[in-house]
Amino acid sequence: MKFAFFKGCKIPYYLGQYETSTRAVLKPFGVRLVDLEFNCCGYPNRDLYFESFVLSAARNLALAEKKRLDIVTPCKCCYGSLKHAEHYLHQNEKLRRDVNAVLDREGLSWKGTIKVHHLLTVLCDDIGLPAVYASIVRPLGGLNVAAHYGCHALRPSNVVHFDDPLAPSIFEDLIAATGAKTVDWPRRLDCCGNPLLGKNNALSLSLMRAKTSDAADSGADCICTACTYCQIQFDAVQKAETPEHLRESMVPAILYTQLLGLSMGLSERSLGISRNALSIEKLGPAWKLLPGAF
Amino acid sequence: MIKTLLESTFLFVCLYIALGICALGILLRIVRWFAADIGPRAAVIPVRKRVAAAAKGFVTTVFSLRFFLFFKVLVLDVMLQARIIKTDLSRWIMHVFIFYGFMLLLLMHALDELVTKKAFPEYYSTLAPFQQLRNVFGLMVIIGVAVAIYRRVRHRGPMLITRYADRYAVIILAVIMISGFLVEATKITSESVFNRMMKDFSSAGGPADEDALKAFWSSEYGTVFADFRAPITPELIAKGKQLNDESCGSCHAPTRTAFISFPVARALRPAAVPMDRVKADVILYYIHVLACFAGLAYLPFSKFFHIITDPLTMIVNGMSDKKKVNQAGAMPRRAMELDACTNCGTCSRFCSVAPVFRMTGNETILPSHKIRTIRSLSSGKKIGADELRKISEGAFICTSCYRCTEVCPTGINLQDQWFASKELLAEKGYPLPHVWVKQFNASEWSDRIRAAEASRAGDVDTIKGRYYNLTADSDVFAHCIQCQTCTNVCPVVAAQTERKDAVDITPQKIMNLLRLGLNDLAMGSRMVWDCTTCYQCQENCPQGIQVTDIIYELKNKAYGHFKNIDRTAGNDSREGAS
Repeated sequence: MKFAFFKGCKIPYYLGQYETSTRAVLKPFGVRLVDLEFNCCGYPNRDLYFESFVLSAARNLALAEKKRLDIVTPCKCCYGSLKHAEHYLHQNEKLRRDVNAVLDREGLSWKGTIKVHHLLTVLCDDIGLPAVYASIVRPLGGLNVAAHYGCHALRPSNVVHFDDPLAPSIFEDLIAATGAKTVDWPRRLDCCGNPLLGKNNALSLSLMRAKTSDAADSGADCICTACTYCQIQFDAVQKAETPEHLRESMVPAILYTQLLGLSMGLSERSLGISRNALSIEKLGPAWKLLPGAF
Repeated sequence: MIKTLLESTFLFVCLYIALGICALGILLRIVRWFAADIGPRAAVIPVRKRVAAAAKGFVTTVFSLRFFLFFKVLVLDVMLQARIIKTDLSRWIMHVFIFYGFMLLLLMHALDELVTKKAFPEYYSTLAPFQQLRNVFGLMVIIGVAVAIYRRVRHRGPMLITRYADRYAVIILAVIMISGFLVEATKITSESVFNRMMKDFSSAGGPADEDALKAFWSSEYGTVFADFRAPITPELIAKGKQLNDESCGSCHAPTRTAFISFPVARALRPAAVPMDRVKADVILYYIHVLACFAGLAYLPFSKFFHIITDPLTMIVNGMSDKKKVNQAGAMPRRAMELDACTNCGTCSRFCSVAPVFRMTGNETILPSHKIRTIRSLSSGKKIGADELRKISEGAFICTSCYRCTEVCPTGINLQDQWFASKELLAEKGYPLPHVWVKQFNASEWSDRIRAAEASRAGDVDTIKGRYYNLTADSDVFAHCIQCQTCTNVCPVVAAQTERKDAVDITPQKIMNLLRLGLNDLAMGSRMVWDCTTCYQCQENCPQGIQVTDIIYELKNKAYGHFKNIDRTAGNDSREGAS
């Protein structure tokens, strides 16, 4: 299996461990990730300009089309953005014509021949749960995980085609494969608040804290994410923005690739769990013994 | 010593004047690094604090383990110029040729009395291998300059703009190199130079010997004699060669080894005699040397200042901890980095949001333009509101992905420059639209939008989406049954952080406003600009109304209107942006 690896703007400098853990986790399944010179997916500037957002996303799709590769992205905002652009380009002929006219100046064009995947759908559908189960060497029994779905991959379902938008199960299924126990938490489908960071910090943090307190109340040891922005929100932002007296109530977050990689017995060097801002208590020294084997 | 080299008191004086101007210019620019206000809260940090911070940073780095990075940066980035080859092989070739060609010429040829003669006591400029090497290095520079010109013509566009400074750099190099080759060429053909040399150095006996030497030099070494009557026979040439080996050979390698100047001399043959009469070789020599001095004097004010700032920038940034930025120490560094930018456009080539530039035409999105606007932002020059708005848009569209910083061949910490300028713009009253929109409430914005449209003799709906017009199409929103599901699933409505910032117009109210044709009331509302785009409303709407898409469209249209509104006007009672 070969995919064009769409990292997005944040992973290289802000969440390098997401790239290394994704590559490490997909490699044993024979998935090859190809790096193309992608640009920003367009999601951040949809607030200002519709056309620029579509062009940004379309250029990435066109670059992958040129190499005849499907795209896989570990970020849900990027996934949503690319799927939206695809949707609009299919639907609106005028838009398609104008966007292709701009792309043509670089020798690119969008025809809609490739598909956009998210990391989780690749694991669940293309690689398949049986194969994932088979790769586990160290089930993480005893760890209670709150699966955080994020928003932009899940909704609007008629555009993103990710899972059932009201009762999704893909993430819990994948987490269950690692041996960890998933908790049932009422706010599991709520927004992490990151889109508002820098725009309305009070609101952004309020949304985040609603999630973390709900996760704690539901008995979770940690939140599991599969999106760059969500992870940054629950990890670096939570650490930086939580005042001293509330430190006790912080709920750490871990990337799904790190969780899976841990249960697959992969090295800490590629998983980068120590690079996360917040550490999970239960994943203390006892859990990190395995790296020696590699 | 240098006096004899230059052969002229006038040039000797010129050299020292040029050196003086150069030194003064460099000092002036360094002082400006510490005096310039770049970045947020600039006016608050006094100059002595900046100097102290820079000195402290220097000392802590030198006496730490990071000092060993100095050698890595020196070898890889400064000497081998590895940062250029990372992104562009042809640029690396061009730059290495120009840099090493010129530097070696400077050391071996211009400073030959100081450098080469000390290392090789038998040095004469016309001896092998120095004569060939001079031509090699000169050719390297010319090839480099040719590649530079080709690249700037071939890739010209908004991402690679050639300005006065770039043209000057290329022209002065070309003038120096070409005049240099011409000096050598005219010296080769010059009869008067030959005669002077023969008088001073040759042990030739009578006229017959002189003829032999002349025959040899004119047929083998390119000298052009105005009036040489003797028939040039092989025996005469052989005699001349013998005499040459005796008297001239210890200082003169065959002129053919000046493999550029020699063919040029050949080409100049027809004009050689008149040129000799007007002493063209001396004139060209003066042009050559004075061009060098002009370049030297102008160095700190020209593009060539990067010879000093770029290694400094690479070393400082290569050794510092990029994540810990001390504001006081950062300011002189940022100012120095502005002087280090060589306008190469690599940053823009790799910019993640370049497509937004392609669509909107706002070139302040591109990093190579942003670095120039930072200069004008910090220069204290008055910048108009419209220009500031454009600059702010360019600054905030940047996703801080760090790519430009990674590829910058000069090692400028561009990411830090962008963070600083975003803070500065926010300080000046030009933050993100989502923040700045808070200064008025929804109805105040509605008034302003209507006023702006009225003055343009348009109506509120003049901003039509080219591809979609959800907010003007009643088929999209008319069938809202006001069930308030959207409002009840909205996390922003539920958050209710502060009274003054609470959601004013909930999603179902927005649908009503659309039905009433009061879109402008929704445009400046808290709901629209605090929407977290989670799509819960759209997903859960029993009527399948595209609530979130409508909110996005209201944002886009509002933004279009805001551009026409003087943001400084009116309502002093309201607090500023958070």
